[in-house]
Amino acid sequence: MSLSPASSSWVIWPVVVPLLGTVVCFLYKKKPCLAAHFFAVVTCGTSTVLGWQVLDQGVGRHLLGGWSPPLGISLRADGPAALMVMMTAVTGLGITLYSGGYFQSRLTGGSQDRRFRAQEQSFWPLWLLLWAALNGLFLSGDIFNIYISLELVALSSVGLTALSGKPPSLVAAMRYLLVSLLGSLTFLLGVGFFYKAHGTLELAVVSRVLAPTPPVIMALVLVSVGLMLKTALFPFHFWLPPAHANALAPVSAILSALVVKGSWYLCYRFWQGGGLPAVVGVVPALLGSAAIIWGAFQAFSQQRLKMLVAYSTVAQIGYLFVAFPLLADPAGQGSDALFYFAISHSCAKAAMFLAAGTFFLQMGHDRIRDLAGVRQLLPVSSFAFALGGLSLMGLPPSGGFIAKYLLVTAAISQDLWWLGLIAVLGSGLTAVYVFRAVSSVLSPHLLEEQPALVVAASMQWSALALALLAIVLGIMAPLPLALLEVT
Amino acid sequence: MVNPGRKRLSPAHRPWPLLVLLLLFFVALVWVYLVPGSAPGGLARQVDASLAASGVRSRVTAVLLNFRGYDTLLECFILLLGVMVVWSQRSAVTTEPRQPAAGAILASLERLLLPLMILVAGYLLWAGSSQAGGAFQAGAILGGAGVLLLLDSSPFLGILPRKALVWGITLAPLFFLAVGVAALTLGRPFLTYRFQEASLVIVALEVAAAFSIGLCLATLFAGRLPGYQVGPSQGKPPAKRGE
Amino acid sequence: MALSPSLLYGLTGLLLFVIGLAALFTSPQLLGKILAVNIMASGIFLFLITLAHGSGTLIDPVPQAMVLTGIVVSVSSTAVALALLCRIEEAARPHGHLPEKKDEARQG
Repeated sequence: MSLSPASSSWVIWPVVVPLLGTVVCFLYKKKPCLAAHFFAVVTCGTSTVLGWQVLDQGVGRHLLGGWSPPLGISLRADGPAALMVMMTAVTGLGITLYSGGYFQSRLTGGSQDRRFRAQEQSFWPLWLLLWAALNGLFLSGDIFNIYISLELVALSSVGLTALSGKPPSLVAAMRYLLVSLLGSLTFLLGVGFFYKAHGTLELAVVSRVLAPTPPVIMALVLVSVGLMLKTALFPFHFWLPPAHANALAPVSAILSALVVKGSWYLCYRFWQGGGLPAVVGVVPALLGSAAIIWGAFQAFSQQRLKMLVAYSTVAQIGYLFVAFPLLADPAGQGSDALFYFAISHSCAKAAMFLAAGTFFLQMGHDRIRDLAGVRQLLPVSSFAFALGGLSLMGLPPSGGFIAKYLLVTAAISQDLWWLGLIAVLGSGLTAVYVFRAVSSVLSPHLLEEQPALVVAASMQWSALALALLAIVLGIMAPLPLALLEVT
Repeated sequence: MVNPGRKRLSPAHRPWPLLVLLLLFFVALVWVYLVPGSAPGGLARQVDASLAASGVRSRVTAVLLNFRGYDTLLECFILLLGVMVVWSQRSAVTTEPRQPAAGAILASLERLLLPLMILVAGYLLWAGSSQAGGAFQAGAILGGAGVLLLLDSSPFLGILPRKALVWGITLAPLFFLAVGVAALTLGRPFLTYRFQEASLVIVALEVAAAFSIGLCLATLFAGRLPGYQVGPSQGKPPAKRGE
Repeated sequence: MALSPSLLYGLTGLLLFVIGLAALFTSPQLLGKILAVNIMASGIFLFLITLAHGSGTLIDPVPQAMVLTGIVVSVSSTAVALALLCRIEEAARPHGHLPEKKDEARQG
């Protein structure tokens, strides 16, 4: 039996712990919230151990079942994977703390309580399973296993989207499901062509394009299109805003901050293997540029805060693809810029969606015009929302600033100055729509009557913690960048 | 039939440009499929080389439960996930009671088929270790038996205590995780079995998987949380603070 | 190149995939779209199965295992889709049509 001593057990725990949590939350209906918090904290701990071990010992591998690839499946924790797992852990913990307060705050002893309790019971196992699937996606080294993880992510996201039970969210969930299935089936066909061309399912082998024969090109195109559909890259973005905006508050944050990053990360994995000429990367970069401009315009013209934040996600996904031509030069900083965008967007967007959800719960609506004065009631959430917006705009010293700085310097050093131009233009456009939302939230307008505060304190503070993290990411940049060096 | 997305999702009124595009896509797929390349051959040889150490003689079973056991674990979770999502859509219920279709015929069919189905499922499970068959085939047959019972509006899912149903559904995922974690605590990689115990563990996993898969399939067919009554408040629009 | 059964299955699988794709885009009904996705999945499974006969006489069990796993995934996602469909129908029944949101109608 090909037992390898190279299997490090710390690689698998961030997948196993939330899987265990799923089953426990599904079985233990009395206090699923308590169990979920426990498992979220443990998952966060194991993810931190993973990040620390990768920094300390370098790339970690885990040969599942003791079989080495191509026969078996391996998990591989390198710098980028560890960074994504860490990102999911930190954002996920914040969202978990928020959700605890959120579901508690909605119980008012009214006739809806039974429905809300049922929603909470379904939420926790779905969320933990989604978390496990995302970690599995980031760590997996096998493309068929990635397909299964993608389906787990998609189905649990759809379940979470539909949880609110209102017709718009049901319709959005249905469309999300159909697009998602189309994406994963396209991906699966690509997997088939890869297997036909290479005779293996190992990601490390498959993503290294040595000879661009027609089957390999077709496989790469199918896989990329499938993943871009799932990431909602322009022009495949049509399903995202209604799905993200109509979901429950914590679900919106989960979808925007974490789920889109899963398929984007895989796209990066398939393109970063090397062998592709830089010209090919121009296609995602052009689509990304279009997304930045289109998303910003749409965000600006929205009447509802959550729709604005959702369209902002469409625009920010554009940034995640703009640096793709820079990946052709392995010595360049292209991938650093991409990952910095990913992690700072994750914290900032989670904070903004959580804050917007708090406004909604308190005010009963999220019309931007009528939110004026909410600052008095919810100072902490308003501050969190504004800080998140600052990071999206890329003002120093936020994480978004570092990301844009890395992108522009990498673009100039590789003579792709137009990418830098797009990034700067995007910052300006972001500033316009963020200002529109923030000026309403922070306006000095006084509320006529002071309604009682219904939201829990943890809802406000968890959003603020994530927003502060999005800012602090700019100051502690050396740490994530050191992690990214490990490949 | 309601159709919310007609305008945007389906250009049904002018499909020709789309169909031409799809035709071109098909031609490209076929061309790529037929291009003679250096076929590296799949993993048949590797599987054969390690088959002796896997604990089973059937190559597909060896792949599913040993070499790529992690995939199968996640797959059990996909079924569990399906049940969770379907149950979370609480009022996804056909409110009118199911029509017991042609009672006498169905009843006799049931009497005839049910024992046979359970027998066949058991046989497939047993055959899986050496030839075609295994947990999925057996689970599918068991699921079919469950569907037959449900068709007769026999409320067997409702009669089952909720606890038993829920534990039955989670049996396979839990058992898989337990096997995996046990290997980890013994200092081996996740889901590793030693050769001496491999056959036993695989058979146990297969039985659990077949049972859970059958139960999950029947539950998915029933499509709702058993025993859940639709209240009169279901049709009402949610309150303002429902977001 | 002679038309072997395996080749025929592969081509049929690809054809089914494209037919499903066309139906997904053109079908006016949600149920039709769900069925279309199922047809696409079946096409891919047929295609994957032919990969097992790729080289020589040895039959590769890995694609077969992939198809078995894929079928279960497809069953689960179909069940989710159908449950959602029931729920949407239910929500629409009192009105006869779905209340479309203004924001949604305007999105690009």
